[in-house]
Amino acid sequence: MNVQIEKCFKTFHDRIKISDLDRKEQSNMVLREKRDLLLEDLKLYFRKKNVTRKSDEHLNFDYFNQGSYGMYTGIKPIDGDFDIDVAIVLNIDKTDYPNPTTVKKWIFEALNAKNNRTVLWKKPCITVQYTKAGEEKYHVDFAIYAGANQDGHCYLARGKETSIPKEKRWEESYPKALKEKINEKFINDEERHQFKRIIKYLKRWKDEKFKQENSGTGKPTGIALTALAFNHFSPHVRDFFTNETKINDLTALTKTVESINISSIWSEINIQLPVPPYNNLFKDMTSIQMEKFKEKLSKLKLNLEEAQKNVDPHEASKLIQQVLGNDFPIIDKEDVSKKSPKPSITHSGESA
Amino acid sequence: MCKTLRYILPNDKILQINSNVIRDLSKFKQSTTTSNESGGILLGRILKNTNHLVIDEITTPTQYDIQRRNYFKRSKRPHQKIINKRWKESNQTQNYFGEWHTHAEENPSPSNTDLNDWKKRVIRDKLNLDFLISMIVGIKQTNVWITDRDCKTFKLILTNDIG
Ligand SMILES: [Zn+2]
Repeated sequence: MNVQIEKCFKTFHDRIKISDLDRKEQSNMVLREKRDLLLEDLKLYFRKKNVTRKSDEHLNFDYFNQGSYGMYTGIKPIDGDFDIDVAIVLNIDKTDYPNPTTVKKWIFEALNAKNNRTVLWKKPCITVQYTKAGEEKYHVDFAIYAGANQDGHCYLARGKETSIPKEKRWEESYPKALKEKINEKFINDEERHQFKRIIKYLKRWKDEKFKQENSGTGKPTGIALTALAFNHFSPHVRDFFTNETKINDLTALTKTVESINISSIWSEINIQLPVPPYNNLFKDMTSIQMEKFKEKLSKLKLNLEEAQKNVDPHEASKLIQQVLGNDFPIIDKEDVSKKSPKPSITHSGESA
Repeated sequence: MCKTLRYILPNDKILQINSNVIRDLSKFKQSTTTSNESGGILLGRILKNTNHLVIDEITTPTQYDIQRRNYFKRSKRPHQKIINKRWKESNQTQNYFGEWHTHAEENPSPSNTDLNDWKKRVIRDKLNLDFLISMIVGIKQTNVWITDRDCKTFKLILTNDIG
């Protein structure tokens, strides 16, 4: 039973995961090429800008994939809107640029150079959106950081040009910190891999069950679910008695969801980003949205618990598919049932 | 939502009755003073590897059956036809496991008619299992018995009740 369900989880994971953007795989090529094209535009922009600057004032930047690509917790979107998060860390001191939108404007100008893309101001980033009829949608979010500050800290440029002054601010933020925290939580490979799979399962559940909701308000964000898993997941990768490797994603996911559930019986779910600025990742949910979220979480828990108890792998896989969506395969009823040589014979009967 | 029920069999295997069966059976409960007794047969599967049993289909009263307040007579042919059909359609995995009927009492127990019928059935029916499974659907509770080849009848215990 476990073996068969674990096979389903493996198939499910293969179907939903996004592999490392920088690995030379065909599936990532389009996204990688788009990102690299945008980075080239940024480099060109700063090269031009530096012509008029003294050599010790030359601007340059580091970049890396942040968000789920950086943490290897990315999943394929069911609506087809792929999302890449890129951190741009500039060699500037924030005290030289009291208004962070000055710096964000550079990025905006640099990227807003071609017709086939839409560049948008967002509070935490500059977004490049590609939408072509009949093609896969995707967007690249550039988060811009000041990385050469006298105080040694790192700051995210927040606000739009049109934002009120208090929203235009430098927010202490460590783009690599969350990634490191997530990647370092489990030293053991099997445990770490399972941890990341559980994050992906929760994210797919979210995409399936909150289709109508807006991200961040009615729909929990991927980061919020990542932080929940960070606090509530414990690995189930070894046999309790023999200590041999025995991956049990169903138990790991069930226990994680149970733990989140128990922690929120008497209160709203409140989870902080595990690194600075330690913000509450559910703060934008209304209490009605929170109740809905908890309701959906309870349904997830019930189905997983029943799947664990169910003696029929076919039924168990159906219960899991109901909550995780159609990428989770159903185990064929006839494959798990014994054949009988002939139909049994009944006779008429009486009861009273 | 109806719950899936699981019982312990004397050979320590589990008998699982799926929630859709519980839901279908509950429609026949004799909840009013005029409702008649209903009955039918239970269809299920033996699972590979574990040998646990799953009941996931039933037949319901047909026009050839007789339904009275405290009596039900099930005819052979229409129910046997379904057994044959389902066995074939399911690639020989779905088969006849036993029978069910309703009682106009809250927590049902078998009548002498029931016990005699079950014994007769174990001897005469050609079963795929070593025992016959019988369910009585009461107004509040549903109970399950098995009758073995020695014609001994045991009431099964829910797994939830033994922790
Ligand atoms: Zn009876």
